[in-house]
Amino acid sequence: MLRKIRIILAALFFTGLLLLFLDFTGTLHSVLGWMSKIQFWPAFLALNVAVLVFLVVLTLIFGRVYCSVICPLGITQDIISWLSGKRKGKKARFTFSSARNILRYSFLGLFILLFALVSTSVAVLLEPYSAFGRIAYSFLSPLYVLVNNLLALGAEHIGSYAFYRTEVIVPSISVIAAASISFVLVFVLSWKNGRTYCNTICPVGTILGLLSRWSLLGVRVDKSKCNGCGICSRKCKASCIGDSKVDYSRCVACMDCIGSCNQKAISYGLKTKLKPCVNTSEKVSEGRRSTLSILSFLAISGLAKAAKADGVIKADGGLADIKDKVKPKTRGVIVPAGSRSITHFTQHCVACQQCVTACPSKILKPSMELENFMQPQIEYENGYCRFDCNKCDEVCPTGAIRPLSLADKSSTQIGFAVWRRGHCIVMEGKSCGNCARHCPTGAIKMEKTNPADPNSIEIPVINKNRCIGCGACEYVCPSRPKSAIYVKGYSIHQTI
Amino acid sequence: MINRRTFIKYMGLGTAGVLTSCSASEENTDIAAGSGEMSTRVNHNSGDKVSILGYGCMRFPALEKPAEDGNILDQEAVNQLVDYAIEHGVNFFDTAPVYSQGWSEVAVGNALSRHPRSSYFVSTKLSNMPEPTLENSIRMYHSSMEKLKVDYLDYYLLHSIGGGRDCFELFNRRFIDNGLLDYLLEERKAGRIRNLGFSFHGDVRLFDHMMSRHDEIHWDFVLIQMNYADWKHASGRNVNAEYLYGELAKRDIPVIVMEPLLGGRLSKLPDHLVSRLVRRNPEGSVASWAFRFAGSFPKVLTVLSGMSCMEHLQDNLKTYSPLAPLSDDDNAFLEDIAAMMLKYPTIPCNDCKYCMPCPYGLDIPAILTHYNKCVNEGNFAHNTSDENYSSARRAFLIGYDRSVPKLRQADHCTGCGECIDECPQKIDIPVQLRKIDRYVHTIRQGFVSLMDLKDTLHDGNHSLVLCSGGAAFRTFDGIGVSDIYKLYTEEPETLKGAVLADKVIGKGAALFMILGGVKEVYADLISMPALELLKQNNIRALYDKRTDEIMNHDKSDICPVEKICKDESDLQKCVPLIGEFLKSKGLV
Repeated sequence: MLRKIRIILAALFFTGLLLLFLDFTGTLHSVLGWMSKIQFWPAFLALNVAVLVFLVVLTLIFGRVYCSVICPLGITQDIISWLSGKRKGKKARFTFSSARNILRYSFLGLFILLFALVSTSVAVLLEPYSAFGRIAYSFLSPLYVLVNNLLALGAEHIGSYAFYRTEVIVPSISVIAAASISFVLVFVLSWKNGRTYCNTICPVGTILGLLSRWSLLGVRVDKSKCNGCGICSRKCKASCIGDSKVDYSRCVACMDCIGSCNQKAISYGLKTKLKPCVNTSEKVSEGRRSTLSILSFLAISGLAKAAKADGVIKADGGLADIKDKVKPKTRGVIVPAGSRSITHFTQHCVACQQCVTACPSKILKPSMELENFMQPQIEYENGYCRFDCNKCDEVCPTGAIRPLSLADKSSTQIGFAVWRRGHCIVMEGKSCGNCARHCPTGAIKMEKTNPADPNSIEIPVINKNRCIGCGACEYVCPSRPKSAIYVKGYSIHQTI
Repeated sequence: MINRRTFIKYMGLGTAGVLTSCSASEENTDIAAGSGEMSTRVNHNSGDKVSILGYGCMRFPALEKPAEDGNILDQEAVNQLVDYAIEHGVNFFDTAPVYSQGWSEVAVGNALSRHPRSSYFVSTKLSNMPEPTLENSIRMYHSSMEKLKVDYLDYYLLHSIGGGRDCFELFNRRFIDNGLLDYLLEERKAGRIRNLGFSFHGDVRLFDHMMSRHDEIHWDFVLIQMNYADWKHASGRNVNAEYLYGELAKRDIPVIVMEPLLGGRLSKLPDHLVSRLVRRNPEGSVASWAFRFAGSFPKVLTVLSGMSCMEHLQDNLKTYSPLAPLSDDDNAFLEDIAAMMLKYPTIPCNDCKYCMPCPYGLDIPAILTHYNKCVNEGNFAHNTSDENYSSARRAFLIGYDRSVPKLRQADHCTGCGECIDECPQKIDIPVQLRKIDRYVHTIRQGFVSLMDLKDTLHDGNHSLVLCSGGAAFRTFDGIGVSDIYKLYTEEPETLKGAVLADKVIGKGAALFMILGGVKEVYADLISMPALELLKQNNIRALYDKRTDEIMNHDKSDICPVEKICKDESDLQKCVPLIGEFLKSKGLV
């Protein structure tokens, strides 16, 4: 029963979180957004005390149910491990092993060191929530969009507006590489040994493990009933039941062992003393399936490539070519309103890519630089930040992008427009003013170079004080490939 | 002008003419089957017996990618269409050097040269707009014959007369000053041009001028835009077809009809108009009404239709084999349909693509066509409180991204205006694109921007622009406070919560805004008392210039409306006083 409840809750959380990462319309967020907000590390970065207290209390009462039900990467491992069991045809394939304490505390130490001294973006490579985010973003979201686009094609055919096409996200090689490392690591470890990742590498697992040692409730073995058959030990994916006790620091409260005991000796409740169980050392056959993980990775990256070919604009003979815009070298880094400053953003973002998927203008792109690797930043080559939208701060679970009202968002200056005289078509005597027409704050005005001469050309004059850096001017600027007006980021955001 | 009686007379003659020319038609009453012979007309100038359906070669199907020789058209499909058309009695093919990026003539030449020269009449045009030197023009003329693989042209037209900023200047430059018209007349004498005429779009003065020279030049035919919408309700600067046809009929000049279907717009009508047409003739297509309308006029030699697929061709063949002319009743009915069409704010774009390619990569016809489609399908929302607002919004925005790639959408228009002179319908394309862009902007972001209203005010040189429903803008061009007064007295709910831009706001205008419950305003010029008053009533006001007093038109005195309400603190009391004044001036 308890196991069924665990599985149902886990399935709900997993589906919900997966949809959150895949949903590019941003509509699910209002319903499911809380699921990502109660993730441990994001809540820690967001300094969300309520959530942290809740998680600590939860663990102190129930043990590490967080790892079984709330953490998407934990559930992913359960799924992989379950598939592995199916494939190997063995229902009880694990074996007890003692805690690798040196290793797990070293990883925790490394994580804290990286976080404190190097940068959040490197530290989160170890963190489970963002690892799940990277995997979903790199491998699943292109597929999801592709399927959506196929549906949209069908809808278009029958004149329905139920689905609409959207840009297929094609992650760059380094993003795929980072996601693949996480995925292969998690896949291999869970395929072979269940929860090894959670109990040796995952910093959140280690922290919660420290707490769950003293949890009120836990899995108990009634020594009067136990006949020492060891089946529970072989059922335990955390490899934590053995010899004489349950290692509560590693037990993720999955309840698998309870039903496995033929003697009904195991139950979940207030912790009591355990009768020593006999550890049978059945050797788990060495999995030689690592090739499978490589194959599946190749298949997925192949699909990602196919997605890229689909995204190319169909050329029509009667249309002038449109050159791609190039990113201005001096742009700097632009982060969404609500991030306050680049420092705040880099320190808090776990690079889970939720905002990248949610952004309706598709202007958030994961960075390729080492100092903020995978953390999203804004590019205006193919879109601009809409006045009416604050999706990114709504979805951000870590507070890297803090929630802002639309009114506050539209008065936050995340950058400022810069005019490049040499590229502007008005300097060639052509009339334009598209930047001024599209400026939502009226920061750009077309003014005569010589007010006394009515025939003099009109150039865009930027009032930096009114510019919020939304990039509308850059997006609509006709000068290509180098935009004649572009936005340069503020390292600390300002308010009008 | 042709009056109703002569029109009916022509119609009667037309009916009789058609009935006699198609021997089978009297027995064959089953019009829908279209099983009879193609109706024909005789050109009294040359004796040509021309099919009433002419093939307009501007909209042939294109390839996904140009062929090896650069041909963008699907030659195989063109051959099939042309063969089928000839087989079913069509013998008139009209093209031009500029169609389909220059490939129409080639494709038509390829297709027609597979048939005996005597089995078709070919028509092309002198599109010498960019550099109208005699040399260039003659080269274009010879190149046309070469591409069409013929040594004489059956019909040759001075292409698109009446356009340009100064139509007389452009006409003289293209055909008179360089001696080109004389050259063409010589060619006609020599028999290489069997019929010489012109195609007309635009300024009526030039049309009249051309008519006045008929005795001297003798036009063998003229190509005009004619359909039941343009008959009495030509859009923009175009001329009513009723007038053009009447002038030509008076001089017994054969008329060739272009845009009988307005680039398909007359087949893609609003839903309730479609059902009216279908109810009246369930067997015929919506398009068949337009073709029967054009074909029913006796002086019409042929009706050109740009059929881009077999289904269009077959439908038209059915309509014209033989033609069942319209009755007076039918014509009155179509006139009613045309009048109802005017209520829809569609843009008269016929997707001819003359404006393309836009130097900035925009897909102008696709944008305008999408807009029209939404208007006709009821997906152009006026009010956010409309029942279907969210589905209309979705259809407009999603459909927009489907029909036009993002970087080719209206927001990328720089307003360079290169397209304006190219448009035969005289659409002010940049203004229309900006209008669509602002609409998209408004419904996408869900609130009305004062800047957008201000731009609309200036774009159209309007006196008042208002958005009351949070979606479409309404523009007004009345004098002084007359528009806002009318809005306040006749439809006060419009002002409630509205956002508006006004050229001049004095106390008079401001009081209507306050009483009406307006939310935000922009003014090019605002008076200090008005600004004060608006602020007191929590109405956000932006303005370009401020002044102490609003003056009257000749700046000799304070504006009379301002005088009326200057010292009155009870705003309600001013309303009837201003009303009386406006009535006395005949402004309301």
